[in-house]
Amino acid sequence: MRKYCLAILCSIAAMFPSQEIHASISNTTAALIGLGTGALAASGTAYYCSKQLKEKNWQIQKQEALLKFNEYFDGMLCNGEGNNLKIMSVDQYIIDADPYYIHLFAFNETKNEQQEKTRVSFLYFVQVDEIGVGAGINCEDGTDILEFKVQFLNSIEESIDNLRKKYGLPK
Amino acid sequence: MKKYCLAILCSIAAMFPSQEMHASISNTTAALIGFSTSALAASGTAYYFNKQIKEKEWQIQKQETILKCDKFWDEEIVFGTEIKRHFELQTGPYHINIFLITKNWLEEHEEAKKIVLQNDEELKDKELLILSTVLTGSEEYAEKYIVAGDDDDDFFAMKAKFMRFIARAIDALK
Repeated sequence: MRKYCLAILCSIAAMFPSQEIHASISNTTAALIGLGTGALAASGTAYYCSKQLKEKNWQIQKQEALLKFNEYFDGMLCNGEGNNLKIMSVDQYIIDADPYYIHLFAFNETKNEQQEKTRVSFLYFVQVDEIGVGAGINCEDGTDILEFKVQFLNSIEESIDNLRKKYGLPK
Repeated sequence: MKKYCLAILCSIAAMFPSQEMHASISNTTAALIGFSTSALAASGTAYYFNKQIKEKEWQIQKQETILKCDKFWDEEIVFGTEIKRHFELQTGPYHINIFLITKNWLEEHEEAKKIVLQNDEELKDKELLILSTVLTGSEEYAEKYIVAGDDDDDFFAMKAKFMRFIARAIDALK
């Protein structure tokens, strides 16, 4: 910010010189000062726009990851594996939504043997390059699958947001 | 482009003036020429970025619409307990109308039947038709689509078809 103010002041000084300054500054110097001021303004604009663009890119990438997750979830129901969200064995799935990779591990778990109530547990890890955040979510028997999908989706979204908060914007 | 070239040439001329020009151009003019050259460059940069940002915004709105449609489908088509006949979704500039038409309803409404079946007679045997239109905000232009299914059809396959239509319609509206 200081740089900009200084450059603008220099430019104004070059535009309205005193008699002494007028004699000491050549047209070349004055034009260069003007050009430099404008160039600084241009770089400021580029910086601001570039930041906005990165923000939009991040949002697009996040939405793409969520769309891919939706596909995965529907596919799981569609294949019959998850009509009641019963996973036959430990199931590993990788959702590739550049730059995010979502590693999902799904498995059945007996919650209480007396009640014979089982639940499906999902562990997942949202990763960009070498860094990532992980979380888990459970779906008990009798849970509304749709509600669970929304919860799961929100959980994934939260993890992507956390990843960004911790490590900044992906490249 | 011509403007930029002219401005850059003027700026260079101001930096290296001849003896006569030196006398005729004041420092103020030289500084102003230099400044305006850069200002033009800045506006060019801003224009370029602005175009890119708009493109990204469009993509975000498209994805938001698709996510919203996905949610709609899950809630109203596959798991819904009550089938309503008409839904409206509004996301960004897009207005999406979705009509769920059952075979029985179509039998009872001759006019609607004529409209729906005008392109494909085979649709009359389907248990459920989903007629959808995607409009822009001004409603001047619309993309229309019908997806049909029977009781034993895979609704996820229908969903995939429907989602592809929404994505295609938005691309076409652009």
